[in-house]
Amino acid sequence: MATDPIYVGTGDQADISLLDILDHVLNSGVVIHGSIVISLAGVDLVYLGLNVVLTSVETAMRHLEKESRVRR
Amino acid sequence: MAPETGIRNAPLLEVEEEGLRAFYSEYKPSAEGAREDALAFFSVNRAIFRDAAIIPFRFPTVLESEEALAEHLVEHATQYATALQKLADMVQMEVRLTLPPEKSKAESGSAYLKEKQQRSKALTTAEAAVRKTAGGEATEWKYRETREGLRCYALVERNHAAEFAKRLSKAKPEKPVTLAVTGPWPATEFI
Repeated sequence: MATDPIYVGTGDQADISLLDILDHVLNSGVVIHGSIVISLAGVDLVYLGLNVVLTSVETAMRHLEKESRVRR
Repeated sequence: MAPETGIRNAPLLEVEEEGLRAFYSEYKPSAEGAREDALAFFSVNRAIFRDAAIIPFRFPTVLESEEALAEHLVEHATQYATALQKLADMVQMEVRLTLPPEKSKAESGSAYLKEKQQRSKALTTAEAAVRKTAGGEATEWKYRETREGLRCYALVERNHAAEFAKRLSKAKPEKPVTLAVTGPWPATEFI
């Protein structure tokens, strides 16, 4: 039975946990061509500040909305 | 067990094709609450991952319709089934080896290059030591460079994940390399 992700090692555990989670959901996993996928590839998110991660995601989302409006 | 709701408490729905089951929810990406949405997505994955191997999609993956998702499953059924079979009892453990930010005191180009070589060597030495510590527990092992150092991925039997993490956390790389072990994660690096 799998357990929740554990974090062992140096560093602030809470910070590592949240950044690791966001890094995994944003950077890992299957990419479907033709779907709308926000790619933040090429940037290792883990050691950026959380605000930057949030900003990057929100910036990408705004870009997506802008593209959708242009297509209409 | 899959939860009843997904992102923003939308009902979590299922599609089944060719022996595969995909979970999804209605979602309209927006800048507001992007982080919370990503974390909610992770929570759903985690709940299902507790009981079964999963192949997560990258967040956010948005398709036009349930039919589009079904088509995708049919098209890639063999690949997904093979991967899930391989990963049935396996999880991904990660080891992050990092160096402190570079603060070069080199006074020449060659001195700078030498510093970089030493940093690189410290990491490769640490990676080799950690991989040796992992031993046969890691049925597969890979690593990649990151801006801060190296990120190592180990494919490990689900039941051994906690013990693996504990053992690797005792590996003490030579300073200034630091080590962090996380997991278990869905084995996306080994699909």
